[in-house]
Amino acid sequence: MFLGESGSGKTTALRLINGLSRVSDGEVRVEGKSTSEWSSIQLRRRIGYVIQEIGLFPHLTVAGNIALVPLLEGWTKRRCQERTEELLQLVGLRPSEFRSRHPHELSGGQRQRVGVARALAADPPILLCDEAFGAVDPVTRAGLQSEFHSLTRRLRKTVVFVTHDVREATVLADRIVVLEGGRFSFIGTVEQFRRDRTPAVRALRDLA
Amino acid sequence: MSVFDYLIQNRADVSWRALEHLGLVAVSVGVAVVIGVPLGVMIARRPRLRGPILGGANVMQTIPSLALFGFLLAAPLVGLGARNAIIALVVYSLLPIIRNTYAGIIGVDPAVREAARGMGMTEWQLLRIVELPLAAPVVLAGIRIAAVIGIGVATIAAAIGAGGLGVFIFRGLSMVDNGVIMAGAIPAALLALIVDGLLHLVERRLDWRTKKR
Repeated sequence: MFLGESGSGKTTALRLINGLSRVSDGEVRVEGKSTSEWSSIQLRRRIGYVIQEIGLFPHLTVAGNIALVPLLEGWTKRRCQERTEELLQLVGLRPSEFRSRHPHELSGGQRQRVGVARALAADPPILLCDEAFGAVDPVTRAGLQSEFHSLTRRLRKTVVFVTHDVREATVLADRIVVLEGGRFSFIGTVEQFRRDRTPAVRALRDLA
Repeated sequence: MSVFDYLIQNRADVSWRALEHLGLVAVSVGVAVVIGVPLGVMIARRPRLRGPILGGANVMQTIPSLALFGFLLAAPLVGLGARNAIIALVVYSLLPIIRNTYAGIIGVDPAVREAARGMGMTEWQLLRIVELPLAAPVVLAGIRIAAVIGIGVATIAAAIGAGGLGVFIFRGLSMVDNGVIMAGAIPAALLALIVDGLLHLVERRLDWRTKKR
């Protein structure tokens, strides 16, 4: 969990992992291999990516959005379909009702569910989430957070999550990284975060 | 002679010229799409090329059409006839097509592009699966503008022997007969309206916002 104010570099840190931002110095290793050694396309296919604005493809149906990565990966039509049904159920959307809708016919919360389903489509081992629930209303957000938490736990995904919401961080995280001015100012478990006495961490805790 | 008498008496000739007219415009707009859409995509990718390419297309647009036909007469391998007219019409069609392709692609929501890249699409897949379909209505609007302008400009093509409905307009001018001029002008205007309407329908069908499930 990357926690920090806007401009602290958390999004950039996240984008370094899937190669959307380039490393100028040092290296980022994914599965033991430096991102500069990965083909960026291969790398990104192994990493699900969920952003606040979601970025669903407005001209495709819900099913079309979810099945896109599997299709690019060369899955058969049939397998794509089965996977889409499975994922819709997984994120709590009834396939018969939602599969052929377009994104503009969904609520914000439903859209973000589709965004998560799309990111999980090809069963990537890693998931990157950038303020994934930042644009939904607080009630929906709480529900999405807990569902997301149990879902990723059950699927045993490595999740790197960016947020500026301290409560979200303590609810979802195993470990928290605090970013300040592009540097990590704290790395530790949620427990350690709760007890830490450095001013930056205390200031953050006071916000919650 | 009234325009209607003339049209009825010469209906075979008028229909043939209308088809010829449409053919000139269709071929030219087709060629302009083949050239213009890739150029529009290119300047959306490389902003540095935007000024020169849009500027160039803009300047070409400002050349008076009669003068352009004239210049082309003197060009090698062109001379009189349909080839000359088609080149000129392509030149006029380029600007709206390039500009709208560019606008359509630039108008794609950055979040959509970010998501597409993040899921590991190649640049080509991004273009084919995401950007072009989303830009399609805007691109088509450009093609529509190009076609309507083209139908107008093509009336002048008769002056260099490329045929089309302009034949009646020039004939009427030399006969000082408004009826004959109208026999070319009215079908040309109708043609423009019909093509405009039809392309507008296609545009709506391509638009995901108005698409019915």
